[in-house]
Amino acid sequence: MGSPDENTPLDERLRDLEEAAFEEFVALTRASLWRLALGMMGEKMHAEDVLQDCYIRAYDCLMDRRWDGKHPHAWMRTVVTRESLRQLKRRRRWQRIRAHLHRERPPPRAPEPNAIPASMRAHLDVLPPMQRVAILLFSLEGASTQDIARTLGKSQGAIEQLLVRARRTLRQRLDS
Amino acid sequence: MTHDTSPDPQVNALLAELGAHLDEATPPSTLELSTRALNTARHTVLIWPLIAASGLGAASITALFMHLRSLEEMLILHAL
Repeated sequence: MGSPDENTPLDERLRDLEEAAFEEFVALTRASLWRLALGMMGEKMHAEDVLQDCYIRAYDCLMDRRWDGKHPHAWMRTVVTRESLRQLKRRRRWQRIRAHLHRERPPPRAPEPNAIPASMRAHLDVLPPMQRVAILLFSLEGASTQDIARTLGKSQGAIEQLLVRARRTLRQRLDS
Repeated sequence: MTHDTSPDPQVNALLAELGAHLDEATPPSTLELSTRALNTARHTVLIWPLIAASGLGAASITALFMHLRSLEEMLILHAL
């Protein structure tokens, strides 16, 4: 790692692997990424796991020169979105396996402090992972359908369809 | 912040409420995140000599780490 220079832009200091730059990068992006990860995952513990994995990945990518430190917010938002999506799909598979094994509902867990209320999570949990990610990025993060398409590697039309379906799913949930 | 143009006010209200909850949630501190990362690294350091002693090649070990979670799931699915 090189010597810190506060006058050099963050992306250049990240690229040059300055120790202080990574700390600054985490401090700058932590709050917005936390909001995104918590919205995606619904639970504090899972959101922390996602965030931790993504920062470790960012550090590895800088070290291996797979990322040059450019556009740190946008880059990390893509990483957090994709990792959340991966973990949501994984959680769905586990839920199906558990349901198959136990054939009964697991006992309710004590609510975690600082998490989204259970009633709100129940609404989110009816959304399939792709619909959930799309509507959260669009409605809460202010991302355009073009941005979301780029992040998820889909066409803009596919994202618009996902948003329509997500709203319909939430509507049906609210009516039930 | 919400810029959803859905004409359904109830869905919009639900998303706005979610946004408010997310705004209120305090993010983990940099120290907490660093500690978690350090713990992961420590586990890797502890596990590494055991795997190295198993005689697996470097490529196999890397692949094992990369797909450990998926492997867990595959094994359970096979067992079903």
